[in-house]
Amino acid sequence: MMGASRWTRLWAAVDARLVLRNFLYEVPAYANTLPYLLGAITLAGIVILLGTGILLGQFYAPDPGLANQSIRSIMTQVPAGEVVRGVHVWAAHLTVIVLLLHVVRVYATGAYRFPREANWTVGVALLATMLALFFTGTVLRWDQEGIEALEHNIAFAALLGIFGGWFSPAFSSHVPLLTRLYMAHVSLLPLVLFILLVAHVYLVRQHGISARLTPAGPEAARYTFAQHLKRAAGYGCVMLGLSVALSVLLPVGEGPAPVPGIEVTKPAWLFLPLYGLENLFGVRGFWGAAIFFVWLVAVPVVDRDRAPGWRGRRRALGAGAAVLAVVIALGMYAWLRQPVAHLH
Amino acid sequence: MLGVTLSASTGQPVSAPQDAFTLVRQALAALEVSPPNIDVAAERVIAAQFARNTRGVNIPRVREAQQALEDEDPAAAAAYLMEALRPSEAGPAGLDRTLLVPVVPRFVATPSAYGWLAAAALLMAAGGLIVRP
Repeated sequence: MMGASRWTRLWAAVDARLVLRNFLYEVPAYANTLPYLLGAITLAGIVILLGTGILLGQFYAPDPGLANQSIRSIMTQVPAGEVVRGVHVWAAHLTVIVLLLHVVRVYATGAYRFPREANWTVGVALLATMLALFFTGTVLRWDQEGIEALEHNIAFAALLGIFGGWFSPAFSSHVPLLTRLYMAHVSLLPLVLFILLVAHVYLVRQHGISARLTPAGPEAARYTFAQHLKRAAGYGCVMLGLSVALSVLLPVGEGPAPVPGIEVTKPAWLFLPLYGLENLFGVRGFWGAAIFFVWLVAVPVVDRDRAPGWRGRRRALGAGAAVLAVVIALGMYAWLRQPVAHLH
Repeated sequence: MLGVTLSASTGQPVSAPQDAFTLVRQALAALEVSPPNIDVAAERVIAAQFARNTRGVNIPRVREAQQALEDEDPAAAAAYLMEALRPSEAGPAGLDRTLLVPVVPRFVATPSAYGWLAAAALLMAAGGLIVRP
Protein backbone atom coordinates (compact mmCIF):
# COMPACT_ATOMS: atom_id res chain seq x y z
CA MET A 1 0.00 0.00 0.00
CA MET A 2 2.83 2.32 0.86
CA GLY A 3 4.38 1.53 -2.52
CA ALA A 4 1.20 2.40 -4.35
CA SER A 5 0.82 5.67 -2.52
CA ARG A 6 4.45 6.52 -3.26
CA TRP A 7 3.80 5.93 -6.99
CA THR A 8 0.65 8.01 -6.76
CA ARG A 9 2.56 10.87 -5.15
CA LEU A 10 5.33 10.57 -7.76
CA TRP A 11 2.78 10.58 -10.61
CA ALA A 12 1.04 13.62 -9.07
CA ALA A 13 4.36 15.46 -8.78
CA VAL A 14 5.35 14.72 -12.38
CA ASP A 15 1.86 15.42 -13.70
CA ALA A 16 1.72 18.77 -11.90
CA ARG A 17 4.78 19.84 -13.88
CA LEU A 18 4.31 18.11 -17.26
CA VAL A 19 0.46 17.98 -17.36
CA LEU A 20 0.61 14.42 -18.64
CA ARG A 21 -3.08 13.87 -17.76
CA ASN A 22 -3.81 15.64 -21.05
CA PHE A 23 -2.73 12.42 -22.78
CA LEU A 24 -5.40 10.48 -20.94
CA TYR A 25 -8.31 11.69 -23.03
CA GLU A 26 -10.56 8.98 -24.32
CA VAL A 27 -10.28 7.58 -27.85
CA PRO A 28 -12.72 5.18 -29.53
CA ALA A 29 -11.97 1.49 -29.15
CA TYR A 30 -11.50 1.03 -32.93
CA ALA A 31 -8.67 3.60 -32.80
CA ASN A 32 -6.62 0.96 -31.04
CA THR A 33 -6.93 -1.51 -33.90
CA LEU A 34 -4.05 -2.00 -36.34
CA PRO A 35 -5.57 -0.13 -39.33
CA TYR A 36 -6.01 2.98 -37.17
CA LEU A 37 -2.54 2.64 -35.63
CA LEU A 38 -0.65 2.72 -38.94
CA GLY A 39 0.02 6.47 -38.74
CA ALA A 40 1.45 6.17 -35.23
CA ILE A 41 3.55 3.15 -36.29
CA THR A 42 4.95 5.25 -39.14
CA LEU A 43 5.97 7.78 -36.51
CA ALA A 44 7.71 5.00 -34.57
CA GLY A 45 9.56 4.05 -37.77
CA ILE A 46 10.66 7.66 -38.20
CA VAL A 47 12.08 7.61 -34.67
CA ILE A 48 14.11 4.48 -35.55
CA LEU A 49 15.36 6.15 -38.75
CA LEU A 50 16.31 9.28 -36.82
CA GLY A 51 18.30 7.32 -34.24
CA THR A 52 20.17 5.13 -36.73
CA GLY A 53 20.63 8.11 -39.07
CA ILE A 54 22.35 10.12 -36.34
CA LEU A 55 24.73 7.20 -35.73
CA LEU A 56 25.50 6.79 -39.44
CA GLY A 57 26.01 10.55 -39.83
CA GLN A 58 29.04 10.33 -37.54
CA PHE A 59 30.91 8.16 -40.05
CA TYR A 60 29.52 9.08 -43.48
CA ALA A 61 31.57 11.42 -45.67
CA PRO A 62 29.20 13.35 -47.99
CA ASP A 63 31.85 14.00 -50.62
CA PRO A 64 31.72 12.34 -54.05
CA GLY A 65 35.35 11.21 -53.72
CA LEU A 66 34.87 9.68 -50.28
CA ALA A 67 31.23 8.64 -49.89
CA ASN A 68 31.47 5.09 -51.26
CA GLN A 69 34.61 4.39 -49.24
CA SER A 70 33.05 5.80 -46.08
CA ILE A 71 30.08 3.42 -46.40
CA ARG A 72 32.49 0.50 -46.78
CA SER A 73 34.27 1.73 -43.66
CA ILE A 74 30.97 1.90 -41.77
CA MET A 75 30.35 -1.73 -42.75
CA THR A 76 33.79 -3.06 -41.93
CA GLN A 77 35.46 -0.82 -39.36
CA VAL A 78 32.74 0.81 -37.25
CA PRO A 79 31.55 -1.45 -34.38
CA ALA A 80 28.02 -2.65 -35.24
CA GLY A 81 28.14 -0.32 -38.24
CA GLU A 82 26.87 -2.95 -40.67
CA VAL A 83 23.87 -3.73 -38.46
CA VAL A 84 23.07 -0.05 -37.80
CA ARG A 85 23.18 0.68 -41.53
CA GLY A 86 21.06 -2.40 -42.22
CA VAL A 87 18.49 -1.31 -39.62
CA HIS A 88 18.40 2.16 -41.21
CA VAL A 89 17.79 0.74 -44.69
CA TRP A 90 15.29 -1.95 -43.68
CA ALA A 91 13.41 0.40 -41.34
CA ALA A 92 13.15 2.88 -44.23
CA HIS A 93 11.51 0.21 -46.40
CA LEU A 94 9.18 -0.93 -43.59
CA THR A 95 8.24 2.64 -42.64
CA VAL A 96 7.32 3.52 -46.21
CA ILE A 97 5.24 0.32 -46.49
CA VAL A 98 3.36 1.19 -43.28
CA LEU A 99 2.94 4.79 -44.46
CA LEU A 100 1.46 3.66 -47.79
CA LEU A 101 -0.93 1.32 -45.93
CA HIS A 102 -1.91 4.28 -43.74
CA VAL A 103 -2.68 6.35 -46.86
CA VAL A 104 -4.75 3.48 -48.29
CA ARG A 105 -6.69 3.15 -45.00
CA VAL A 106 -7.40 6.89 -44.81
CA TYR A 107 -8.46 6.95 -48.46
CA ALA A 108 -10.61 3.82 -48.23
CA THR A 109 -12.50 5.04 -45.17
CA GLY A 110 -12.94 8.54 -46.59
CA ALA A 111 -11.19 10.07 -43.59
CA TYR A 112 -10.13 13.02 -45.79
CA ARG A 113 -13.68 14.36 -45.98
CA PHE A 114 -14.98 17.42 -44.16
CA PRO A 115 -13.58 18.71 -41.84
CA ARG A 116 -10.28 16.88 -42.43
CA GLU A 117 -9.39 18.12 -45.94
CA ALA A 118 -6.50 20.26 -44.66
CA ASN A 119 -5.05 17.37 -42.69
CA TRP A 120 -5.24 15.13 -45.77
CA THR A 121 -3.23 17.76 -47.67
CA VAL A 122 -0.67 17.86 -44.87
CA GLY A 123 -0.56 14.05 -45.05
CA VAL A 124 0.12 14.15 -48.80
CA ALA A 125 2.97 16.60 -48.14
CA LEU A 126 4.28 14.19 -45.50
CA LEU A 127 4.18 11.36 -48.03
CA ALA A 128 6.11 13.47 -50.55
CA THR A 129 8.68 14.38 -47.87
CA MET A 130 9.16 10.74 -46.92
CA LEU A 131 9.66 9.82 -50.58
CA ALA A 132 12.20 12.64 -50.89
CA LEU A 133 14.02 11.29 -47.84
CA PHE A 134 14.05 7.80 -49.37
CA PHE A 135 15.31 9.20 -52.69
CA THR A 136 18.10 11.28 -51.15
CA GLY A 137 19.07 8.25 -49.05
CA THR A 138 19.46 6.25 -52.26
CA VAL A 139 21.75 8.92 -53.72
CA LEU A 140 23.88 8.97 -50.56
CA ARG A 141 24.86 5.33 -51.12
CA TRP A 142 26.98 6.72 -53.97
CA ASP A 143 27.14 3.48 -55.90
CA GLN A 144 25.92 3.05 -59.47
CA GLU A 145 22.26 3.23 -58.46
CA GLY A 146 23.05 6.34 -56.41
CA ILE A 147 24.71 8.27 -59.21
CA GLU A 148 22.01 7.29 -61.68
CA ALA A 149 19.38 8.54 -59.22
CA LEU A 150 21.32 11.80 -58.97
CA GLU A 151 21.45 12.14 -62.75
CA HIS A 152 17.67 11.68 -62.85
CA ASN A 153 17.40 14.32 -60.13
CA ILE A 154 19.26 16.74 -62.39
CA ALA A 155 17.15 15.83 -65.43
CA PHE A 156 13.93 16.38 -63.46
CA ALA A 157 15.30 19.70 -62.22
CA ALA A 158 15.84 20.75 -65.83
CA LEU A 159 12.20 19.86 -66.58
CA LEU A 160 11.06 22.17 -63.79
CA GLY A 161 12.87 25.14 -65.31
CA ILE A 162 13.58 27.92 -62.80
CA PHE A 163 11.69 25.99 -60.10
CA GLY A 164 14.25 23.20 -60.36
CA GLY A 165 17.18 25.51 -59.74
CA TRP A 166 18.00 24.24 -56.25
CA PHE A 167 18.12 20.65 -57.49
CA SER A 168 20.68 21.35 -60.22
CA PRO A 169 24.48 21.31 -59.79
CA ALA A 170 24.65 24.83 -61.25
CA PHE A 171 22.95 26.24 -58.13
CA SER A 172 26.23 26.04 -56.23
CA SER A 173 29.20 25.41 -58.48
CA HIS A 174 31.70 24.81 -55.67
CA VAL A 175 29.58 22.48 -53.50
CA PRO A 176 28.81 19.06 -55.04
CA LEU A 177 25.14 18.21 -55.40
CA LEU A 178 25.76 15.05 -53.35
CA THR A 179 26.83 17.21 -50.42
CA ARG A 180 23.76 19.41 -50.77
CA LEU A 181 21.46 16.39 -50.99
CA TYR A 182 23.13 15.06 -47.83
CA MET A 183 22.31 18.37 -46.17
CA ALA A 184 18.73 17.98 -47.36
CA HIS A 185 18.60 14.37 -46.09
CA VAL A 186 19.85 15.13 -42.59
CA SER A 187 18.52 18.63 -41.91
CA LEU A 188 16.21 20.28 -44.44
CA LEU A 189 13.85 17.36 -45.09
CA PRO A 190 13.73 16.22 -41.42
CA LEU A 191 12.87 19.82 -40.47
CA VAL A 192 10.06 19.90 -43.04
CA LEU A 193 8.94 16.47 -41.83
CA PHE A 194 8.88 17.66 -38.22
CA ILE A 195 6.82 20.77 -39.01
CA LEU A 196 4.35 18.75 -41.08
CA LEU A 197 4.12 16.06 -38.39
CA VAL A 198 3.34 18.68 -35.74
CA ALA A 199 0.60 20.10 -37.98
CA HIS A 200 -0.72 16.58 -38.73
CA VAL A 201 -0.88 15.51 -35.09
CA TYR A 202 -2.35 18.88 -34.05
CA LEU A 203 -5.17 18.52 -36.59
CA VAL A 204 -5.81 14.89 -35.57
CA ARG A 205 -6.12 16.12 -31.97
CA GLN A 206 -8.45 18.95 -32.95
CA HIS A 207 -10.77 16.89 -35.17
CA GLY A 208 -10.46 13.64 -33.27
CA ILE A 209 -9.95 10.25 -34.89
CA SER A 210 -12.19 9.90 -37.93
CA ALA A 211 -15.42 8.00 -37.50
CA ARG A 212 -15.84 4.47 -38.78
CA LEU A 213 -17.87 3.96 -41.91
CA THR A 214 -19.93 1.16 -40.40
CA PRO A 215 -21.89 1.82 -37.22
CA ALA A 216 -20.06 0.49 -34.21
CA GLY A 217 -21.68 -1.95 -31.84
CA PRO A 218 -21.77 -1.38 -28.12
CA GLU A 219 -18.20 -0.80 -27.03
CA ALA A 220 -17.46 -2.13 -23.59
CA ALA A 221 -13.75 -1.29 -23.62
CA ARG A 222 -12.66 2.30 -23.11
CA TYR A 223 -9.24 3.45 -24.20
CA THR A 224 -7.16 6.54 -23.62
CA PHE A 225 -4.75 8.21 -26.01
CA ALA A 226 -1.91 7.05 -23.74
CA GLN A 227 -2.92 3.45 -24.46
CA HIS A 228 -3.02 4.27 -28.18
CA LEU A 229 0.57 5.55 -27.92
CA LYS A 230 1.58 2.49 -25.91
CA ARG A 231 0.32 0.13 -28.61
CA ALA A 232 2.07 2.17 -31.29
CA ALA A 233 5.29 1.93 -29.26
CA GLY A 234 4.77 -1.84 -29.07
CA TYR A 235 4.48 -2.07 -32.85
CA GLY A 236 7.53 0.19 -33.05
CA CYS A 237 9.45 -2.40 -30.99
CA VAL A 238 8.29 -5.10 -33.41
CA MET A 239 9.44 -2.98 -36.36
CA LEU A 240 12.83 -2.38 -34.76
CA GLY A 241 13.22 -6.09 -33.99
CA LEU A 242 12.24 -6.99 -37.54
CA SER A 243 14.72 -4.46 -38.94
CA VAL A 244 17.52 -5.88 -36.79
CA ALA A 245 16.67 -9.44 -37.85
CA LEU A 246 16.55 -8.46 -41.53
CA SER A 247 19.82 -6.56 -41.29
CA VAL A 248 21.49 -9.72 -39.97
CA LEU A 249 19.77 -12.30 -42.19
CA LEU A 250 19.72 -10.17 -45.36
CA PRO A 251 22.58 -7.71 -44.85
CA VAL A 252 22.65 -4.61 -46.99
CA GLY A 253 25.58 -4.42 -49.41
CA GLU A 254 27.31 -1.61 -51.21
CA GLY A 255 27.86 -1.36 -54.95
CA PRO A 256 31.10 -0.38 -56.68
CA ALA A 257 32.15 3.26 -56.75
CA PRO A 258 29.93 4.89 -59.37
CA VAL A 259 30.83 5.85 -62.89
CA PRO A 260 28.83 8.53 -64.71
CA GLY A 261 27.40 8.46 -68.19
CA ILE A 262 25.71 5.06 -68.10
CA GLU A 263 22.35 3.70 -66.93
CA VAL A 264 22.40 0.05 -65.99
CA THR A 265 20.45 -0.07 -62.72
CA LYS A 266 16.83 0.22 -61.72
CA PRO A 267 15.57 2.15 -58.70
CA ALA A 268 14.13 0.75 -55.47
CA TRP A 269 10.64 -0.81 -55.63
CA LEU A 270 9.12 2.44 -54.45
CA PHE A 271 10.16 4.32 -57.57
CA LEU A 272 9.50 1.54 -60.08
CA PRO A 273 6.15 3.03 -61.21
CA LEU A 274 7.93 6.29 -62.05
CA TYR A 275 10.67 4.30 -63.78
CA GLY A 276 7.96 2.56 -65.80
CA LEU A 277 6.60 5.96 -66.85
CA GLU A 278 10.11 6.95 -67.90
CA ASN A 279 10.36 3.78 -69.98
CA LEU A 280 7.21 4.86 -71.80
CA PHE A 281 7.64 8.64 -72.03
CA GLY A 282 11.29 9.33 -71.26
CA VAL A 283 12.17 11.88 -68.61
CA ARG A 284 8.81 13.56 -69.21
CA GLY A 285 7.31 10.60 -67.36
CA PHE A 286 8.18 12.61 -64.26
CA TRP A 287 5.02 14.62 -64.91
CA GLY A 288 3.06 11.43 -64.28
CA ALA A 289 4.30 11.45 -60.68
CA ALA A 290 3.39 15.13 -60.42
CA ILE A 291 -0.12 14.39 -61.72
CA PHE A 292 -0.45 11.57 -59.17
CA PHE A 293 0.29 13.97 -56.32
CA VAL A 294 -2.05 16.63 -57.73
CA TRP A 295 -4.75 13.94 -57.85
CA LEU A 296 -4.05 13.02 -54.22
CA VAL A 297 -4.36 16.66 -53.13
CA ALA A 298 -7.55 17.07 -55.17
CA VAL A 299 -9.27 13.98 -53.75
CA PRO A 300 -11.25 15.79 -51.02
CA VAL A 301 -12.36 18.42 -53.54
CA VAL A 302 -13.40 15.93 -56.20
CA ASP A 303 -15.11 13.45 -53.87
CA ARG A 304 -18.35 15.17 -52.82
CA ASP A 305 -20.20 11.96 -52.03
CA ARG A 306 -21.62 12.22 -48.52
CA ALA A 307 -23.80 9.10 -48.44
CA PRO A 308 -23.21 7.16 -45.22
CA GLY A 309 -21.36 3.86 -44.96
CA TRP A 310 -19.52 2.00 -47.69
CA ARG A 311 -22.29 2.90 -50.20
CA GLY A 312 -21.03 6.46 -50.17
CA ARG A 313 -17.51 5.27 -50.97
CA ARG A 314 -18.27 3.27 -54.11
CA ARG A 315 -17.14 5.84 -56.68
CA ALA A 316 -14.11 6.95 -54.66
CA LEU A 317 -13.06 3.36 -54.07
CA GLY A 318 -13.45 2.61 -57.77
CA ALA A 319 -11.26 5.58 -58.68
CA GLY A 320 -8.70 4.65 -56.02
CA ALA A 321 -8.60 1.03 -57.18
CA ALA A 322 -8.08 2.19 -60.79
CA VAL A 323 -5.19 4.46 -59.79
CA LEU A 324 -3.67 1.71 -57.64
CA ALA A 325 -3.96 -0.77 -60.52
CA VAL A 326 -2.15 1.65 -62.87
CA VAL A 327 0.61 2.25 -60.30
CA ILE A 328 1.09 -1.48 -59.70
CA ALA A 329 1.01 -2.23 -63.45
CA LEU A 330 3.66 0.43 -64.11
CA GLY A 331 5.78 -0.96 -61.29
CA MET A 332 5.48 -4.53 -62.58
CA TYR A 333 6.27 -3.39 -66.13
CA ALA A 334 9.43 -1.66 -64.93
CA TRP A 335 10.38 -4.57 -62.69
CA LEU A 336 10.11 -7.16 -65.45
CA ARG A 337 12.01 -5.15 -68.05
CA GLN A 338 15.77 -4.77 -68.40
CA PRO A 339 17.15 -1.39 -67.26
CA VAL A 340 16.60 1.25 -69.93
CA ALA A 341 18.71 4.36 -70.56
CA HIS A 342 16.51 7.43 -70.18
CA LEU A 343 19.18 10.11 -70.09
CA HIS A 344 22.15 9.05 -72.22
CA MET B 1 16.86 14.02 -74.69
CA LEU B 2 18.40 15.41 -71.55
CA GLY B 3 21.96 14.16 -71.56
CA VAL B 4 23.43 14.59 -68.10
CA THR B 5 26.82 13.33 -67.06
CA LEU B 6 28.41 13.87 -63.69
CA SER B 7 31.94 13.56 -62.51
CA ALA B 8 32.01 10.73 -59.98
CA SER B 9 34.79 12.46 -58.07
CA THR B 10 33.33 15.95 -57.93
CA GLY B 11 29.64 15.27 -58.55
CA GLN B 12 29.53 18.11 -61.07
CA PRO B 13 28.49 17.87 -64.75
CA VAL B 14 31.18 17.03 -67.28
CA SER B 15 31.18 16.55 -71.03
CA ALA B 16 30.51 13.04 -72.39
CA PRO B 17 33.44 10.75 -71.52
CA GLN B 18 35.82 9.85 -74.34
CA ASP B 19 38.69 8.46 -72.30
CA ALA B 20 39.26 4.72 -72.22
CA PHE B 21 39.48 4.67 -68.43
CA THR B 22 35.91 5.91 -68.00
CA LEU B 23 34.64 3.68 -70.79
CA VAL B 24 36.21 0.60 -69.18
CA ARG B 25 34.66 1.54 -65.86
CA GLN B 26 31.30 1.91 -67.58
CA ALA B 27 31.72 -1.53 -69.10
CA LEU B 28 32.52 -2.91 -65.64
CA ALA B 29 29.42 -1.22 -64.19
CA ALA B 30 27.32 -2.84 -66.93
CA LEU B 31 28.73 -6.25 -66.01
CA GLU B 32 28.19 -5.84 -62.27
CA VAL B 33 24.41 -5.59 -62.46
CA SER B 34 22.23 -8.67 -62.37
CA PRO B 35 21.82 -9.94 -65.04
CA PRO B 36 24.96 -8.46 -66.67
CA ASN B 37 24.21 -6.06 -69.51
CA ILE B 38 26.56 -7.57 -72.11
CA ASP B 39 25.42 -5.33 -74.99
CA VAL B 40 26.23 -2.11 -73.16
CA ALA B 41 29.51 -3.55 -71.88
CA ALA B 42 30.57 -4.64 -75.39
CA GLU B 43 29.74 -1.21 -76.79
CA ARG B 44 31.89 0.50 -74.14
CA VAL B 45 34.75 -2.00 -74.53
CA ILE B 46 34.91 -1.37 -78.28
CA ALA B 47 34.75 2.40 -77.76
CA ALA B 48 37.57 2.17 -75.19
CA GLN B 49 39.89 0.59 -77.75
CA PHE B 50 39.34 3.49 -80.13
CA ALA B 51 39.50 6.23 -77.50
CA ARG B 52 42.06 8.98 -78.04
CA ASN B 53 43.03 9.02 -74.38
CA THR B 54 44.00 5.53 -73.18
CA ARG B 55 45.99 6.65 -70.16
CA GLY B 56 45.70 4.26 -67.22
CA VAL B 57 44.28 1.41 -69.34
CA ASN B 58 45.94 -1.78 -70.52
CA ILE B 59 44.40 -2.03 -74.00
CA PRO B 60 45.48 -5.67 -74.70
CA ARG B 61 43.52 -6.68 -71.58
CA VAL B 62 40.50 -4.77 -72.95
CA ARG B 63 40.78 -6.81 -76.16
CA GLU B 64 40.73 -9.99 -74.07
CA ALA B 65 37.64 -8.67 -72.31
CA GLN B 66 36.01 -8.11 -75.68
CA GLN B 67 36.80 -11.69 -76.64
CA ALA B 68 35.29 -12.92 -73.36
CA LEU B 69 32.16 -10.90 -74.06
CA GLU B 70 31.92 -12.42 -77.52
CA ASP B 71 32.15 -15.81 -75.81
CA GLU B 72 29.31 -14.62 -73.51
CA ASP B 73 31.45 -14.98 -70.41
CA PRO B 74 30.72 -11.79 -68.41
CA ALA B 75 32.64 -12.94 -65.31
CA ALA B 76 35.86 -13.42 -67.30
CA ALA B 77 35.27 -10.13 -69.12
CA ALA B 78 34.88 -8.30 -65.80
CA ALA B 79 38.12 -9.89 -64.53
CA TYR B 80 40.01 -8.74 -67.66
CA LEU B 81 38.57 -5.26 -67.34
CA MET B 82 39.68 -5.06 -63.71
CA GLU B 83 43.17 -6.04 -64.82
CA ALA B 84 42.98 -3.50 -67.64
CA LEU B 85 42.72 -0.66 -65.13
CA ARG B 86 46.37 -0.21 -64.30
CA PRO B 87 46.92 0.65 -60.66
CA SER B 88 49.05 3.49 -59.34
CA GLU B 89 49.45 5.29 -62.65
CA ALA B 90 49.07 9.03 -62.87
CA GLY B 91 45.77 10.55 -63.84
CA PRO B 92 42.34 9.01 -63.53
CA ALA B 93 43.79 5.57 -62.81
CA GLY B 94 44.47 6.82 -59.29
CA LEU B 95 41.17 5.27 -58.22
CA ASP B 96 41.37 2.63 -55.51
CA ARG B 97 40.53 -0.60 -57.37
CA THR B 98 39.04 -2.18 -54.25
CA LEU B 99 36.20 0.31 -54.67
CA LEU B 100 35.33 -1.26 -58.02
CA VAL B 101 34.34 -4.51 -56.36
CA PRO B 102 30.86 -4.61 -54.82
CA VAL B 103 30.47 -5.51 -51.16
CA VAL B 104 27.91 -8.31 -51.00
CA PRO B 105 27.65 -9.44 -47.39
CA ARG B 106 25.82 -12.63 -46.55
CA PHE B 107 24.53 -14.07 -43.30
CA VAL B 108 27.36 -15.74 -41.42
CA ALA B 109 26.52 -17.83 -38.38
CA THR B 110 28.76 -16.15 -35.81
CA PRO B 111 28.12 -15.61 -32.08
CA SER B 112 27.69 -11.92 -32.83
CA ALA B 113 25.05 -12.64 -35.50
CA TYR B 114 23.15 -14.90 -33.09
CA GLY B 115 23.41 -12.19 -30.43
CA TRP B 116 21.79 -9.69 -32.76
CA LEU B 117 19.10 -12.19 -33.71
CA ALA B 118 18.39 -12.86 -30.03
CA ALA B 119 18.10 -9.11 -29.45
CA ALA B 120 15.72 -8.87 -32.41
CA ALA B 121 13.59 -11.71 -31.02
CA LEU B 122 13.49 -10.03 -27.60
CA LEU B 123 12.42 -6.74 -29.17
CA MET B 124 9.64 -8.42 -31.13
CA ALA B 125 8.50 -10.36 -28.07
CA ALA B 126 8.50 -7.18 -25.96
CA GLY B 127 6.56 -5.40 -28.70
CA GLY B 128 4.07 -8.26 -28.81
CA LEU B 129 3.56 -8.03 -25.04
CA ILE B 130 3.05 -4.26 -25.18
CA VAL B 131 0.61 -4.54 -28.06
CA ARG B 132 -1.47 -7.18 -26.29
CA PRO B 133 -4.74 -5.56 -25.12
